Amino acid sequence: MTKKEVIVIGGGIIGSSVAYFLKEKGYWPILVDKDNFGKETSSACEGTVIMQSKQPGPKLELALKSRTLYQELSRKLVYDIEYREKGGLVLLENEQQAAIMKKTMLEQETFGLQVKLLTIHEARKLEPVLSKNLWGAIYSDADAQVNPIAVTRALLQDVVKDGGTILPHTKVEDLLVEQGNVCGIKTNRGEMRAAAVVNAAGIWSSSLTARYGYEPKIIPRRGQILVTEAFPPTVRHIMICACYLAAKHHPELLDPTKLQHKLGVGTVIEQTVHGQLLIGSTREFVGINKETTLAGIQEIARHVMKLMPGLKNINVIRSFSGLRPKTENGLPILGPVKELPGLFMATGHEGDGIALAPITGKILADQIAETGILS
Amino acid sequence: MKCGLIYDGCLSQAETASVLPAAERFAKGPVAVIECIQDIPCNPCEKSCPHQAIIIGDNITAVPRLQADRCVGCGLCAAQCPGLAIFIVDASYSATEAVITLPYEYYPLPKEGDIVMGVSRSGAAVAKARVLKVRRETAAYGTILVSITVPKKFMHTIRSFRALREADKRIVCRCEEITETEIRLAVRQGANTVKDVKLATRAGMGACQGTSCRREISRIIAEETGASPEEILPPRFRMPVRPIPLAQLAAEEGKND
Amino acid sequence: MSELYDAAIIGAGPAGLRAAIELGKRGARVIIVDENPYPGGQLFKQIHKFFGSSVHLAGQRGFLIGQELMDSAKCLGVEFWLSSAVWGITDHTLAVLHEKNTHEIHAKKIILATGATENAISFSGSTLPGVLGAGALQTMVNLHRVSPGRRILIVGSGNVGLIVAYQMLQAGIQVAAVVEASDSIRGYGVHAAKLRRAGVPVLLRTTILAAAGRNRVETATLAHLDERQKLLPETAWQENVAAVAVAAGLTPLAELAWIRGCAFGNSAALGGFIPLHDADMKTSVEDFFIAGDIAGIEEASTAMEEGSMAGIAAAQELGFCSTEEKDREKKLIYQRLETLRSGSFGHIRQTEKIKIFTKMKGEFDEVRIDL
Ligand SMILES: Cc1cc2nc3c(=O)[nH]c(=O)nc-3n(C[C@H](O)[C@H](O)[C@H](O)COP(=O)(O)OP(=O)(O)OC[C@H]3O[C@@H](n4cnc5c(N)ncnc54)[C@H](O)[C@@H]3O)c2cc1C
Ligand SMILES: Cc1cc2nc3c(=O)[nH]c(=O)nc-3n(C[C@H](O)[C@H](O)[C@H](O)COP(=O)(O)OP(=O)(O)OC[C@H]3O[C@@H](n4cnc5c(N)ncnc54)[C@H](O)[C@@H]3O)c2cc1C
Repeated sequence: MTKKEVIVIGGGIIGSSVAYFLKEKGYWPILVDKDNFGKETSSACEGTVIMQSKQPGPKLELALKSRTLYQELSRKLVYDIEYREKGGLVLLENEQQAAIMKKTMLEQETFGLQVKLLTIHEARKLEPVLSKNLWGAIYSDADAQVNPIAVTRALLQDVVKDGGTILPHTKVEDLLVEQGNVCGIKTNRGEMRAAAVVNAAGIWSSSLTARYGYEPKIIPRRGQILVTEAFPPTVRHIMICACYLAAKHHPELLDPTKLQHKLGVGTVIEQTVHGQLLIGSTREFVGINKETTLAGIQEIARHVMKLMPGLKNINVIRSFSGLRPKTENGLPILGPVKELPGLFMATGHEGDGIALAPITGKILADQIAETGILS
Repeated sequence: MKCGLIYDGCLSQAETASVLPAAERFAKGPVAVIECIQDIPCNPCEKSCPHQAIIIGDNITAVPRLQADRCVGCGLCAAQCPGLAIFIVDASYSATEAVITLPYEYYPLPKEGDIVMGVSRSGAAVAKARVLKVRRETAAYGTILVSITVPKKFMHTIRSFRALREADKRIVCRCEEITETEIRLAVRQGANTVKDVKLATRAGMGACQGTSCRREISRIIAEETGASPEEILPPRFRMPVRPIPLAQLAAEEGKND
Repeated sequence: MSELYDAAIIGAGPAGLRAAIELGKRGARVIIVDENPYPGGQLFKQIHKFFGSSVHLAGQRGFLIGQELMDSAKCLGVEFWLSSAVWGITDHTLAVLHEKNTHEIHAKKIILATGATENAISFSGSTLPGVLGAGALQTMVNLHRVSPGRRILIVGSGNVGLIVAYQMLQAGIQVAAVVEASDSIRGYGVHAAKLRRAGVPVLLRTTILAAAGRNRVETATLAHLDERQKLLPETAWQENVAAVAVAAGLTPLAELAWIRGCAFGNSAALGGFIPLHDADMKTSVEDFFIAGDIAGIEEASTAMEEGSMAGIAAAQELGFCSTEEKDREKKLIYQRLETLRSGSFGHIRQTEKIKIFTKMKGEFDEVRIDL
């Protein structure tokens, strides 16, 4: 039995993970990217693998499974992916936020996620940089961080090690469709055929299928991030503000006249293994535009100062921005496309693509195997 | 060019995969990696193993098979293999580092504690390594076993070492302490823009944001790829162009919208 | 001085030494002659660990194997004439230049185990000092400890080229490259891998066009070949090297067999013309045996087995062992030889050897040089 080849379009963290799990299932993945790998959203983001931020429901379920896979990957991959189970805090500014979150906490527990409500006094013991003026925090030891650049590289290294093919600078210009079936791709470097094609082209995913009448809405949602100088480990947890969750799931609760909410700013902060802080972020609809703006970066700084005044002397050295692939219902698009047999989607992870990358890869590989393409 | 042992003298990636014990075995501690894939008539490794972990059998041209669960990683086979084709890899050494024990037959011998340059199967510099142990086995007829610690991600890449050279010590990115050699390696592996180099090595990610190394990195890329220096564009510039404390960045709301 | 030996062996390489041991241990009176001052033939300058079977002492360094074989032979009373060249032969008599004088050796059986000589190739400047055989370079460096210069080039990627290149690195000499005309590496991958780890390129489809320099080699001009082995002159470039070592294969050293009137066959895979012989290593001439590289270029381990075979067969003819014993040993020897001659490197030699044996039986035309 010869192994079947599967083409994966897009070498971000999602495409790399799909290729990795396909390889694990016994396929020969061929991963193509228009540029070098991992240069788009998957290297313009943070690396939090937060459970608490996921809407209780299918997303939280996926995230919990993904976390288990990260634990395995960090053991298995020889490349250090900087996966650290630091634990996370959701910061509550006031009673109102606490009330919303308490409801969520109950639901989270039904999914097996253990969370604990802390007073601000207790929270400051864990994390002294926090402001005394906060109301409190919710703690979970299930939250972790990872270095997304390293994850992408590590997965690719492993794919190549086991005989998979990766082709950088190979831009997919069209699908190869014969009698309604997708059987390959047309690229700037020629045609390639395979038993199946996985579309993991991030914010570009829908443009590839539009001419075949399948055009899921994937909207780029910009996020700006600050990077600080490196300093000794100080920020011990991954922290997000409750209004980040509100911005994510309940935009209607936010005051649209405030600049913070116009830009969709909610704080997500982590100190990386290398000592730098990554502080995010905005949530803006500005098309394919990767600029960072004065208003955006200042608003992020303002908000973090409110939460963690202890960081006031830390120098910001850079800002950057990435484009989250957002779908209409906020859930990723995973699996076969009815209209185009042979094509599978793995896209639309918005702000959770890092956390969900492993489970996405696994699901896709399982689905492809189930269709009996490997026979 | 075709790759593989018979074409360039280095195992290809697929060939490497075929000789590596399972990932689970690596996690358990030191294990032999036998990089001998041709049916040549040779069998001293089989006899060298006190645990009968290597099997060749009566057909002396058979390729040695490692029974990884029997192997304790003692290194006697590595010391005796006439082809110097056996390495002991200990992935359990620490969270971030692995130990590679390799046969060595050059003078001068390294000293324990020396910092050396770990090199790949094709002699390319990969990452700095520290000499942990220098061991002489009587059964090895003079072959020395040298154990070096290497970053774990390179435990299947580094297969020898050499003394540090000027370029290995020459730091190009001061903030992240990235050397010329590391940058050249990244370029040879396909990074052909300043951003690619940054993603591959972290060069330029530090406090000065590439102010001091950007040009140097461009020069190295041009040199390695044969491009003219004008073709190598600087990376994308971002605010703030000077380090600025968070508190100052968070100037009052409304001033700038 | 004309004693009669039971057997005289020419060449104290692994083949000759094993033959001497088998004869000596069965009580025969044996003399072994070699023009080198050290025993071991090719082995004595080999500082690398030999590949091969542990039964044939593989894993040890070559020169130690030679020493060990000589010690066992000496214990059995074998007489050694080292630094003694056999320069002529008639019937059962050898003419030997020994201690500055010609001596005659008479023996009932003669075993020729003279090994092989290096092939030279010619190119512009190939006669300049500094162009030499890889084996000669090895002798120069490993034995006489003379460096050919800072940086050298090796032509030929067979085991000899690869091993000599590695030994040069060990001696602190830079190797600019190993160049090879064909499109894959000829020798064992593990030997090439050692060079690659040290950063030495092995350049396939590449050849040497010229060596140049004022009084000795200073540069070598190299160029690539296309898939059809056609030279691509536009690809030519120069390397600064102080020596060019040619490892273009070996040819059996068989003059004495030609003179003695042996029938010959030709096999490219075994190195060219070789004396026809049977499985007992007997040639077409009565009482005249061969063993080792002269019977086809192979390896030390096969040379040892053939040497043993020749020694036992001669011992049996001399009455020092029974036919049954010989047949028993022969069976074991051929079992081992068969495995040594298997695999992608060895099987061709097995096929060629069988052709030689068949030819010996007279089924093919013989090649004979008229005396
Ligand atoms: C500011 C910010 C912070 C974030 N923080 C987090 C976080 O903390 N945790 C978390 O889980 N997630 C986070 N995310 C989300 C996460 O980064 C994304 O969900 C994820 O990176 C998406 O990965 P992807 O592989 O789908 O997309 P991409 O990384 O964009 O990969 C798509 C790839 O497809 C290639 N491609 C596109 N078109 C073609 C074509 N025609 N031919 C060939 N190749 C093509 C592109 O070059 C690209 O490499 C964040 C996002 C942002 C913007
Ligand atoms: C660089 C190199 C590396 C090698 N590595 C290996 C290895 O790792 N493993 C392996 O199995 N094999 C190896 N070989 C091959 C091996 O050395 C030979 O196959 C083997 O030595 C052949 O043995 P022999 O006894 O037939 O001939 P030789 O070893 O060549 O011995 C022949 C002897 O005969 C003497 N002689 C010749 N003519 C006369 C004369 N007229 N009068 C007196 N004496 C004479 C010579 O001086 C010489 O000492 C290597 C060879 C080379 C060149």
